Amino acid sequence: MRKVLLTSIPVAGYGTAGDTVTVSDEIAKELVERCLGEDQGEATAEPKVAVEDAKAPMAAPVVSPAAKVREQTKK
Amino acid sequence: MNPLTSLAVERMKFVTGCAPAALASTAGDGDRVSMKNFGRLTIVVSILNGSTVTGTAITLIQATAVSGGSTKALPFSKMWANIDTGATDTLVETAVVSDTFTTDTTNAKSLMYVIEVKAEDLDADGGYDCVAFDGALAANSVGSVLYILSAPRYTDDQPPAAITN
Repeated sequence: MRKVLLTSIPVAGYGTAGDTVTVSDEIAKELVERCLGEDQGEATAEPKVAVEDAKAPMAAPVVSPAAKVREQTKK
Repeated sequence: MNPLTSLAVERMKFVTGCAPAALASTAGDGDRVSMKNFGRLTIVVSILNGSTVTGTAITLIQATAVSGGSTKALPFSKMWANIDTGATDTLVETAVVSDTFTTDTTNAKSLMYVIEVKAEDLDADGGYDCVAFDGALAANSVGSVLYILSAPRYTDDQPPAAITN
């Protein structure tokens, strides 16, 4: 898979001029050969989000000693 | 024949490619026309989308006869599209890759696609002088195809037939 910037006119099924599209190597070659797009290089996979990090519980809020004193005073 | 004062029917041949239907299977198999007497073929595709549309996959076929004979794909690299005829009459020049494209699937839109074919695009050396539209996969839309053959090789009161060899 390669990323191609469409440069001239809309390409049916792929996008309009100015779009960067991810296409097969074969389609990329055709787009470039016909001067319809500029090869932007190999398409790399999107960085994966660490599921463990996303699901990690939030840390307990830090309570300052002064706030603890104020809380106890209220009681 | 004066091109400024003559009628279109005197200068061009109008042929039904596909009668109105969902352009799929046999209903999407366009009639074959011979270009032996014409220099240009303009294919006009009109489509009315319903809802939950599957687009029409469009290709062109070249053949050695209007019926029977050998067939193979006819390469084409561009078409002109208007994907909302209710809003505009502008046709947008659009590139085609791999000699095929699929029509827009927006619900309830009226679409027009125009494909231009030159006689020299055909493999004349191989005996291919006929052209047909081919539409496939369409669902929940109705379309029709009109062929307009122009640039007749010989002048006459009316252009010669295109659906016979």
